[in-house]
Amino acid sequence: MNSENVPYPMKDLEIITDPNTIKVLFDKVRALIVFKYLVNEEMTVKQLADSIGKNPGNVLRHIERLKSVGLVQQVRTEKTITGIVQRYYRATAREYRLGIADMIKANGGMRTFAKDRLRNMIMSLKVYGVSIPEIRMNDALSMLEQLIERENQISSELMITNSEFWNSLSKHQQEDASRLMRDVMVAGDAEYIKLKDKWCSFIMSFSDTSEKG
Amino acid sequence: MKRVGKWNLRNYIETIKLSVHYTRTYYLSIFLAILGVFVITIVLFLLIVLIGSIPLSIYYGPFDEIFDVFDSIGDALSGVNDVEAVGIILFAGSALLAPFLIALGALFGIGQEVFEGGTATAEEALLWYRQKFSRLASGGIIQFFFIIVPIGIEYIFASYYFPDQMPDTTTLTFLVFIAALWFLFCSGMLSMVFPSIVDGMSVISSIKNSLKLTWHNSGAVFSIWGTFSSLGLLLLGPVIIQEFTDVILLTDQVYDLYILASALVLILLILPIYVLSVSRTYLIISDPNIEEEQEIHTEGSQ
Repeated sequence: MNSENVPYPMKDLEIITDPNTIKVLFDKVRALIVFKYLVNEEMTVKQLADSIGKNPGNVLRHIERLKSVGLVQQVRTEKTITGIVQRYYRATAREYRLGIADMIKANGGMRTFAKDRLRNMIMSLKVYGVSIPEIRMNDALSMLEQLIERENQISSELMITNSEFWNSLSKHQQEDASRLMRDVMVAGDAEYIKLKDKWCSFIMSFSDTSEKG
Repeated sequence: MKRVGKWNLRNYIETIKLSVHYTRTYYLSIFLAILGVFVITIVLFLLIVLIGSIPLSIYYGPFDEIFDVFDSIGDALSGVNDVEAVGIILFAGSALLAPFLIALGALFGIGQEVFEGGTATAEEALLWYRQKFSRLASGGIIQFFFIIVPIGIEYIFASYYFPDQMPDTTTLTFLVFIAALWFLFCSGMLSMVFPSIVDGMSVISSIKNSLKLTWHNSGAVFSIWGTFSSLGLLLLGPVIIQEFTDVILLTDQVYDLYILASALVLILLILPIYVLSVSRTYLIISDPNIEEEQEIHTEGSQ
């Protein structure tokens, strides 16, 4: 298939903010279908069923659910020489991330989960000699949330326009290409740079090395 | 790979042949699926009749048995004007038909499973039944309305022009012909609704999708629909002729047996082949860029 004619270009990164979508992914088989298989290649229901070791009907119903929340799309249909009509499915993006800001705005467990995750990220900086005092923790959380959110926004605009070539790359090559391109994208965003500078100054002000200096 | 292109005779024959083939291959699963769905449908149908009998029994007095509810619907129809009668038919018809429509819709889950997954399991039909219950019910009822409302309007107009007597035979034949034509045409136009619902679309999108697919692929949709509705009509022909004309084709003893045999052939044989044919047609026409795998001819091959 000519990559120029790919009707559904794949996103490099998709931010999941809808709680319903997150709920759909709580199912292990659906998560496996998306994250292990369909982010990497286009597959038919039969191929997925064989790979996962599940009944094709079961996989078909999972695919239908994933399609309904926009995580999976049908990319092409092929009629085999035996007359079988098989549809190929692929994830809508190469990588999915949970939208931290939306999760923090949400109620209940999701908010706590998101806040805890950010807090743990900040706490883990201790391994590099960066200790944020509890009194400044809210500032750190707010800055990091804004930074991640902006980075996600920019990265999610990145489209994989040549799917055929993308599929021919190894996983490492795909990741390298994605990282390089995301760097280029964020480097050109003034708001991101401003947030990044603010975040770097903040972190460095609590770093052991800056105290010694 | 080459594009499949427009629907042609080859596609049609291939669809019917493969549907017969897969019905035969997976017949046990399909039969069990129909049986399972049928049991649930009957339970649901009885539940609806029971619920419907509560307000009716308050109005008409207590029923001796549950099926007396149909007599009271008949009483209600005889005591009202034509517009109200059409309303009652629509309301009661949609409530009573809903379980059967969901059952029919759930079978399309099996159809898609056969062509996309290369297998069929009875339990999947029941899971489609559960997963798509409300969408299949609403989709079925909307189809029923689409088909019946214009026929009801025709009936109201006919009753207005012939208030106290039956229309003459020519007019009656014409009116019945128009109603039957609409029934067949509209059912064909909407034949892609259930496959669309199974494919994950909302009810409204499925109706739109069915109309759009039929508009762009009328040959595909109507060749399949025409084949199976003709088979159905052919099978029920003697009953229809005997019911609506004075011609006696079947004796009383054979008549009931024939109806039972026809119903079994329709439900257990023609229905599964129809479902598979529609599912395959849907898969083909729903992607205008569908590609066809080419047979590789190696050296020395015939």
